[in-house]
Amino acid sequence: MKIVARRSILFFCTVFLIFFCGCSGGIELHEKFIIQGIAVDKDEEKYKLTAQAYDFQTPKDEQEPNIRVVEVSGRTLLEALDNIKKKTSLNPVYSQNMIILMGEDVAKSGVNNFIDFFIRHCETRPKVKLCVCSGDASDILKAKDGDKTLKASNIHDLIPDELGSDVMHFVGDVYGKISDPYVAWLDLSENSGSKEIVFKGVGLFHDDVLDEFLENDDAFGFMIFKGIPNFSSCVVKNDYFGEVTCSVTNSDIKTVPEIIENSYPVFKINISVDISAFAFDSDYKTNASESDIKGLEKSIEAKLGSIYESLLKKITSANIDALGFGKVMRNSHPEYFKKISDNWRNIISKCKYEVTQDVKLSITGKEPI
Amino acid sequence: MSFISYFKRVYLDKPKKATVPDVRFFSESLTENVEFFKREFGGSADLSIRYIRIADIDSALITIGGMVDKETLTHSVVTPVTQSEILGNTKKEKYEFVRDNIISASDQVQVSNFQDAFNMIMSGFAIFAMDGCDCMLAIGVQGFPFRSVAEPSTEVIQRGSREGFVEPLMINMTLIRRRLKSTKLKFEMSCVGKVSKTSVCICYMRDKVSEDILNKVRKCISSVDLETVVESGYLMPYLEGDNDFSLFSGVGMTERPDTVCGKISEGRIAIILDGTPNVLVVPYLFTEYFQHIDDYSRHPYFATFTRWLKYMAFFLSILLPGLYVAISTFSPEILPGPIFMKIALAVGRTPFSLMTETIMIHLIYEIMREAGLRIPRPLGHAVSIVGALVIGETAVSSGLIGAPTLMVVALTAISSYVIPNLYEPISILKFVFVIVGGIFGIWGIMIVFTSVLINLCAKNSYGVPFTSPISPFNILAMRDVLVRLSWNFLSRKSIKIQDLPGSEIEKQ
Amino acid sequence: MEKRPAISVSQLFCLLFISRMVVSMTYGNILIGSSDIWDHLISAPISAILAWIILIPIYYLFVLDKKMNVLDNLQELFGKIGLGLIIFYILYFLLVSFHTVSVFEKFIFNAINPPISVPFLTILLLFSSCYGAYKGIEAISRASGFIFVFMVFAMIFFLISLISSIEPVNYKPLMFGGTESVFEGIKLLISQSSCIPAMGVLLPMAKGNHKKGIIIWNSGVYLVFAALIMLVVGTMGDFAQTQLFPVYTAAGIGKFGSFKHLDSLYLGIWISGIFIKLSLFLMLTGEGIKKIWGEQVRKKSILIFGFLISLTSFFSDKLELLSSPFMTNFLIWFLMIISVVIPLVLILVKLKKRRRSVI
Repeated sequence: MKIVARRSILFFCTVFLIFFCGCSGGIELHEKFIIQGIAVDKDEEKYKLTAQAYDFQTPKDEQEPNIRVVEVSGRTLLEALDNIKKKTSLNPVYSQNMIILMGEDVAKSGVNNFIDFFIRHCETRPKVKLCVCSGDASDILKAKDGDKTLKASNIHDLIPDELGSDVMHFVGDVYGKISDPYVAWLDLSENSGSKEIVFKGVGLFHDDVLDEFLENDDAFGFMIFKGIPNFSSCVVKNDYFGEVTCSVTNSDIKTVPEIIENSYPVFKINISVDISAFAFDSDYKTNASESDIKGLEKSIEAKLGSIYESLLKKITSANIDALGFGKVMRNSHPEYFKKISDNWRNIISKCKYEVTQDVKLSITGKEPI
Repeated sequence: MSFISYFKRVYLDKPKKATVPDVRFFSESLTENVEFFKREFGGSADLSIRYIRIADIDSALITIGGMVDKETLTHSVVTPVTQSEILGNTKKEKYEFVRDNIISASDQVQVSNFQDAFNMIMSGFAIFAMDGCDCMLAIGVQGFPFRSVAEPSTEVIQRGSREGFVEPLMINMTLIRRRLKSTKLKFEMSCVGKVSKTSVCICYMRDKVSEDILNKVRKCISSVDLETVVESGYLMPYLEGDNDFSLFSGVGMTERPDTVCGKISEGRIAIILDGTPNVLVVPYLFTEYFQHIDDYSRHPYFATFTRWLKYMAFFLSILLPGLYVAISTFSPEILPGPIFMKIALAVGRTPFSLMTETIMIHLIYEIMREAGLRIPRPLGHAVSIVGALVIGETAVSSGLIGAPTLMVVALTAISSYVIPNLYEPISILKFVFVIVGGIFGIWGIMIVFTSVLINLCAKNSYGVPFTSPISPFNILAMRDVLVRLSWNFLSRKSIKIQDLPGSEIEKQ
Repeated sequence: MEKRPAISVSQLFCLLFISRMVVSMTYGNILIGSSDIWDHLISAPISAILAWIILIPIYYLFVLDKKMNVLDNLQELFGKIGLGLIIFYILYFLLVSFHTVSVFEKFIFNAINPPISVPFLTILLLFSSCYGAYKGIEAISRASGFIFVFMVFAMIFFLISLISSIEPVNYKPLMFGGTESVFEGIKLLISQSSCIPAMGVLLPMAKGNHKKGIIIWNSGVYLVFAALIMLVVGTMGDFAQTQLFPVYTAAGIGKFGSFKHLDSLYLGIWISGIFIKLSLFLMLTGEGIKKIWGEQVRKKSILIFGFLISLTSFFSDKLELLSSPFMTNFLIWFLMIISVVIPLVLILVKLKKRRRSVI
């Protein structure tokens, strides 16, 4: 009798579990709106949200699903996101989202107003790339190459992982209150009728508010500081070789802060870079001597020195700690940093930054005949 | 009567102990004895009684038609007794003279009761009876037809012996003895089945076996209360020992004499049943399902590789369909982008949910597999054509079933063939995991997987943990579990089954 | 005589390691409040030493008579009062089971929020754990052997996948914000040492070198915990403080070749670990019940307790108490009573009795 009772209990439990649990909770893949990229803009008082997702109702002969772009708006970001379901009748899924693009306006009004969703929601991932766009972010997400919309994955691939332009680094910096966050800066450019997305530079934030953009040589210098190789190239003028185009293949930064009594700290920064010179404006001189190459190295050092100086001046004069000097100070002189931590932002511009360089030049490419 | 009490009476009440039939001894009158034979057999057509008059005494030769070799019977029994001079004064003395001097068959046993005589006659012996004697002579003149020794179709190997077990017990015993020419090898006969009286033989190495396990096996065999035993599978539930439900069996089955020899040299016991080529081996551990006789004749590195393939195939075959349904339905973020896209596209074009689709194809596959097994061989091609065309081609092209689902089911099916002995638990578990995955996602799969693991780990096979030597762990035994080391290493120290870690068997 | 289940020391400590690690894996804001994760790196070795000290009475009691566990000793030395004291152990083991289930639910709700019914998932987990508890310590410990291997491999995998993402600048000086976080960490880690009272019941069941096992287990648990902190803080920096379950988040950002989103691997191991822990503590509850009311009641009680705990999943929003600081303090006091005070009294009474019998 006991065995019968036990088996009956087991049987009924199984039936109970099968019929009364969330069988209906499972949503089939094609009923989901699997978001690949999100662009957030602000239109007066409303958030304008553009989401790019795959359309799995694609015709049968197509091997790849079409891309669907949906535009919604709401007073808050959550309201806008909720409207996706109303508009598409599909359930939005954020786990596959690769990139969040912020418009200039929304970034300037403070990212904390909407980023909370991307930190707390269980489907979002901390390594989702975060970037700022000049103008409207939705333009970038809607940009077309011919007939086809540019995929969010392609935009994602533009930004190197090492830059740390993601939700995790951004929120960590905002929350830590020592360093200031920064994100990649994307822009649209017209090229013979079709539009192209360009990784133009970096957007610097003061707390969670966009402060300024770095482009050209400043962006180049910033990338060297962050150890991002091959961002762009710089042109160096040299008496012997003429104009030489160089790119950075590797960079290593060592920062040592020094405390000076009754004065502001000095940051001694040693920057080692590996430079690859690969294009010369005139014929490559095959008989270039060791001293000529040394001369080229000196020219590069001089050029880079001016880039670093300009970059440091630009960043520190705005009291922005995007290069992480505060964290270095905290780690090497914790007691001193405790004293100045409340006032750290005001001290940044008053600190001294001494840059020393170590340039290793290599001339690459095939030698011309 | 309520359903429960009926159910209880039929299935749960212990059967009453069978009463031992009274032993009936022969009478001295031949007529009475023969009449009893006739009566007991109820005039069965195959009972043959030939009366012979020997030295003025009525005698009879009782056989079962088709089970004796007539030529041997004529040469060793009929011709000598009819043509020789029988000495002796009394009937009893004459019978003894015939027994000791006339009959030239090498195999003869004297029986004194009907039960023994019936067993003998039905095993192919000829019964020689003389009037005035209360005993009879069972003469071994068996001559029934049987299948010749051939390679077993269920356990095909690349290298090694092509001999497999056959139906007659004695031949199977010879196949083992020929491979283990040791005086320590012992065969122990007994009988199972109240009606069928099937011979069963326990085979072991006296110096390797644990007395404890041996006694348990003897007890299990004596507890068999079946009327007929026609296949070794009938004995398995009795040999499993405990009543705890488990998906996996602690009794192994093989058709290869070399496998049996390998097993019994590690202290295991083989149980050979007359009339079936499937020999049972106990204790049988989980890791043994992944060991194959071929492993030991291959290069160690390749044997290790194939062993890992088998482990992978096992997990793939039980978990792949369930994980496929669970991940695609509940956690698509785990999938790499391109794979995810392909699955979503395929699912978007089919009318059924992924779980229904997967269960459906699995069911169709199982139906086709069963049909393939039972169908007469000439029609076999029809099944493959229907299978390939209907499922492989039409279902996908008509948009009823997604290609990735079909691919998953196909991969699962192929993987399950790698370990054919585990096919039964695999086929059930894959359905369970599909249902659980479709309802509870990967979280449910993990819970059920751990439950299955507990079920596996709770099992003991004759006091040896079923999961030994992996858990409880034995590093030495890993030489033939995680890897298959070369014979130089395997031969250094032999591990008996009772010496495995966690074993409850007292060491002798 | 009743047959005692026998497991090896290595199996026992694999089982305890898993039970301890599942708690460490869900370590995060819900449990630690506002204290700094990084400072818990100092809490870990201090807690390891404290855990050894707390373990001494239980271990010494076991050394006095290697065949008797705490429950046997209570029954033998105090008779009916001892049986009454066993109820404390039953309550503690039940409380740990409740706590584990509440952490499970919190985790599933907050970190995953699956589209399935969480209460029913909890019921499935509880029923399966009851099955594990019903099958006994041998089955659970053998299964834990397999899960331990998975866990070790998963941890190595995490380490490899995360080590390249570590940014040394995230390692700030220890105790930068003061010593408060260190004390909070110690309190938390000690309150989670539910394996110590469990050892009081389990040690006599295991064969082998117990002392070595305890040393390796305790060091291993806190070393792995310290390594987890190093990984989490190194990869996520201050972002870790914003996450409810930072270890889970860290697993999600790991990348190893084309393997991404390793949180699924984490989930698999974690759910198996929770299963094993629940089975163990339900089994231990059953052992206590068996001592007082016998074997038949034990079997029923496991199912009843499993059912009762699963019922709480329907009221999980009212179970905030289980993860509150009050609970941490309460668990510490409870732990101290049943793993220090009661064993110490037992040791004294036992030694006194022995002395008398010698005289």
